[in-house]
Amino acid sequence: MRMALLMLLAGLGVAAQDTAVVGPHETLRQVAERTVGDPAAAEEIQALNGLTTDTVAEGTRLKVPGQERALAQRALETARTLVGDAGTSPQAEARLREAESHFRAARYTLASEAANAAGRQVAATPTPQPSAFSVEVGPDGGTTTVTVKKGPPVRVEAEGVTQPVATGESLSVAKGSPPPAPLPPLVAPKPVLPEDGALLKLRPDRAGRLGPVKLTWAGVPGAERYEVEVLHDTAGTAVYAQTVSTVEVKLPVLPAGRYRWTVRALGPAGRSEPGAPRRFELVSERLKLEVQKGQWQ
Amino acid sequence: MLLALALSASPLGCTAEETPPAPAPPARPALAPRAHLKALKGEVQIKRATEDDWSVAREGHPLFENDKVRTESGAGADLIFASDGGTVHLGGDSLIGIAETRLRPGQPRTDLTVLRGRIDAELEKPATQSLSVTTPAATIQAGREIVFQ
Repeated sequence: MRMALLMLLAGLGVAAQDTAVVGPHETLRQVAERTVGDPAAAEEIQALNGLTTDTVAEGTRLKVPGQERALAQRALETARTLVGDAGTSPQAEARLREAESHFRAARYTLASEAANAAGRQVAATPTPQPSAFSVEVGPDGGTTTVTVKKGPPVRVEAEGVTQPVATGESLSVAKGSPPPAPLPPLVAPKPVLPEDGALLKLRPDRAGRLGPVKLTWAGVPGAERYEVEVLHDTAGTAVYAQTVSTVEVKLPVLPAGRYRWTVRALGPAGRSEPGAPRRFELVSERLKLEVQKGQWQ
Repeated sequence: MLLALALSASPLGCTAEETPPAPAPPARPALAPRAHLKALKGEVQIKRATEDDWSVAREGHPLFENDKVRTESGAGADLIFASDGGTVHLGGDSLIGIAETRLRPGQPRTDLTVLRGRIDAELEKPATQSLSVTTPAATIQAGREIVFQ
């Protein structure tokens, strides 16, 4: 009995809170501001009361939004943030638009449901990977090579034709031509000799430099040239860089020291990643003096 | 007669000091930089759209539309776009230009023109960011698709 009474009182309280009487010369926007704290809620009050105009007579008792509006508004704000941060999720955006429409029509429960659904949709949509790609313009601007390293496909447009380039793919466009289908990426060449960490004892020249050292690597299908770079292992400074069309290169004489080298493949599919770096050390070969036993001994 | 003309010409009850000032011409909006230069390495030069000569680029230099940036061999620089934080690394021996913001109907938006060399671009959030690069041979668009209708 006591419980029923409490429920009845609560019900009466809500009813009292959810209606308002229009004051003298009061507009619907003013009623909305007075009761809801937001003049923009006038449209909702109009929908809630089935009014065809926003002009209401003084003394008219109107239904005004209650607690469920605040709940729907919070759900909408959360959904707007989630959908905005996530970017393109067409399903989530459609659900959010639906929620906004319900809200303006004062269908707060439906607005909350649609807003929550939009949020769930965003959570279910996988976050796209960051995008990384390179654009290389050849001599005289005649050729453009686009290589996509990660992320969603990049669109290449020329002469009215658009070609998507996916991760790992590369595409070269000649000036005045439409983009062809992307080529599979060139794999990084595998170095062969010298072995990693090789200690090369060589006879120095008059200036004390050592060499020549021959670098070799395995050929890569689709490669037309190879880009070789040799660096001081500790300083990291380049001592040699050359592009060759063979799978080996003979280095010029170098001072004693530790070096590391890498090789990349070049071709119509672009430029490969460098192969695993190899290290070698050049040391001066000591002359072995052998004195033969003679009669003088 | 003269008095009548003088009275009609001056607003009644209004002294010279009280005369409202003529409306000032609308202030020309300051150009917003389209990108900034960061992580400069080696010799990097910049040529403003309004200038004829190249000058040495400095860390944090703002880049406006039609400005150009060039790097010597072995040099490099990062361009951070002001609109959405997209990053472009400019490699050595390269020449790029910051595109105009003016859009043409039916044409994709362009941020950057690469005339020589290589750029490496990165978009952390491709769903909300976009980058459009134009070269003499093609237009490359990454991230969100934006076409001026």
